[in-house]
Amino acid sequence: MIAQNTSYTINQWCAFWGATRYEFLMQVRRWALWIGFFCVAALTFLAILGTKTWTDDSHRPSVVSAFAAVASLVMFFLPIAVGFLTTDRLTRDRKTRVEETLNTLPASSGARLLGKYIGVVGAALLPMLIAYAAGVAYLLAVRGRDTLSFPLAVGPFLAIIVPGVLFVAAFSLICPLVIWGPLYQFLFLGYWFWGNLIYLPRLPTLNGTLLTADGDYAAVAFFGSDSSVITHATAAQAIASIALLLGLSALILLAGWSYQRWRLARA
Amino acid sequence: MRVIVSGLRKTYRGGVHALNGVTLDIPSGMFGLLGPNGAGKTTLMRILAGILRPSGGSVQVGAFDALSGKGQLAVKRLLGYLPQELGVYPDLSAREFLDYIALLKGLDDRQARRQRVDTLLELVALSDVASRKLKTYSGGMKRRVGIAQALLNDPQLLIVDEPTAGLDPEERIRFRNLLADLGGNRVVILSTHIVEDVAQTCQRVAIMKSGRVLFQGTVGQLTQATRGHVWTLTTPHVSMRPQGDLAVVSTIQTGAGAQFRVVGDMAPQAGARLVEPTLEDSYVWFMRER
Repeated sequence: MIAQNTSYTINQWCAFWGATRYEFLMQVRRWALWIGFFCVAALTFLAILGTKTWTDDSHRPSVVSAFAAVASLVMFFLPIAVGFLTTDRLTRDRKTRVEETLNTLPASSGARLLGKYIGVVGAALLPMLIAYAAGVAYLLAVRGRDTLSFPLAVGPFLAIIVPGVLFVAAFSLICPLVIWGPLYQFLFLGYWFWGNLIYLPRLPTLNGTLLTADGDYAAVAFFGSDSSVITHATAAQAIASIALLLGLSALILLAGWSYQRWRLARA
Repeated sequence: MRVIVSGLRKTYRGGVHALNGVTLDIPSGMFGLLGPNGAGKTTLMRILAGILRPSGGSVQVGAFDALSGKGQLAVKRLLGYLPQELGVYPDLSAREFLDYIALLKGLDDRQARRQRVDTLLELVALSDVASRKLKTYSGGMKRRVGIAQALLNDPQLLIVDEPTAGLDPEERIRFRNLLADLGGNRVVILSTHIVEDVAQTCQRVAIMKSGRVLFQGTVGQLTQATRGHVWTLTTPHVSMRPQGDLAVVSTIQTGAGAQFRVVGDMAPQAGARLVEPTLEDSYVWFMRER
């Protein structure tokens, strides 16, 4: 038998790590994740990467800027897959009735939620990283660049892809607690096109604002990449955009955690 | 350790009174909670496990007030809970699921955690299939995973809600034996509507009906309370059921007619033979009484 710990609290890092590890594991084991990402990535790359815009050196002054363009490409449609595949992660606990057992455990709901979030984000970033790495490798191959420039690809990944994925995953994890999953997915799809991809001057949109989640500000400001919507951006604007996305992610997670506690308290 | 429940009430939204002033004193050992469906057993179990909040009353678990924030957290550390329907992640193996729950229970030493998981898998006889995904498990196997997860933290308070419902006889006996072994110096609360499970495992018992406790005491006291109220009688035909203010516990068709076992205040008719009550007779008696 194990020794009884005399403290009445447990190491919440341990709970956080457990949730992170196993949520990541469960997510990366889903065939839907890999099939979904592969199909979306393949379609995106087939449609755009073969065009001259992505291989012509004259458009881009540096290799990093070309990497940023690949990162922007990854952020075109793949976040839709992130949103769709994250939708059921919290509600699944209720559906499978695991929630009842989890609520009797000493791990705090905050540690569990945060662990689940990080695990889900990690699982979403893995295929995106693969897609991005494939795009970067392709770019280096067709432009005949030195493979030693490969490490430079880390910057665009962190600045353009990661904040957007954190933002999308936070909303897609929490919103289905109060919205029917398929309805959320439908609304999310609409949001992604309206707020990030489509730009019509007469249509009010989030596209082109600091709230754009596709990393346009970072791409333009940090890496000198082209954007059809944002022609000029400062580093401060890019930092503000990233901070806004991360802040909103934290806020929605906090709201979700409060909602879960409220539900448990009124049971 | 002792669990003391005083005047516990629970009224659900919509005005359904699930518990109406339940008072129980539960010492160490196996404690059976008997009652029909809808008696309030699961509500009581869930309150003890910290999933539900009562509308009134108090719960003391050892030195802790289980309804206060701090007390509840302390109780969760001492608790092992097997719900009526154990939810599992179908894509995890039993070993992974137990490791996950162990991490959530705060078992942070990797080596000790692995050892604990392996020990429990052996205890519930699942070592051979521990790497198989849980979606391939039968109901009985899942129930055994459930008891293993409940025992991960070596709980001082173990709550098992209807653990043998839906199991085949062999699985039921195996599960009962496992529970009986766990009784030792911890509080094990076994909620069930299967009288036989309590008869085979528990020293103490409470009977609940409509959110109230009708009886609590030892199994011996329960049968003692029914002494003088249980009869058997034989009739020429099974259709000639004993009449009056009594309840039939069992009917056995014999070649010469039918033998009835009944509980009631008075002998059903001439020729009825007074017999020693069993736990089942006592249960029927209490259900009929009030």
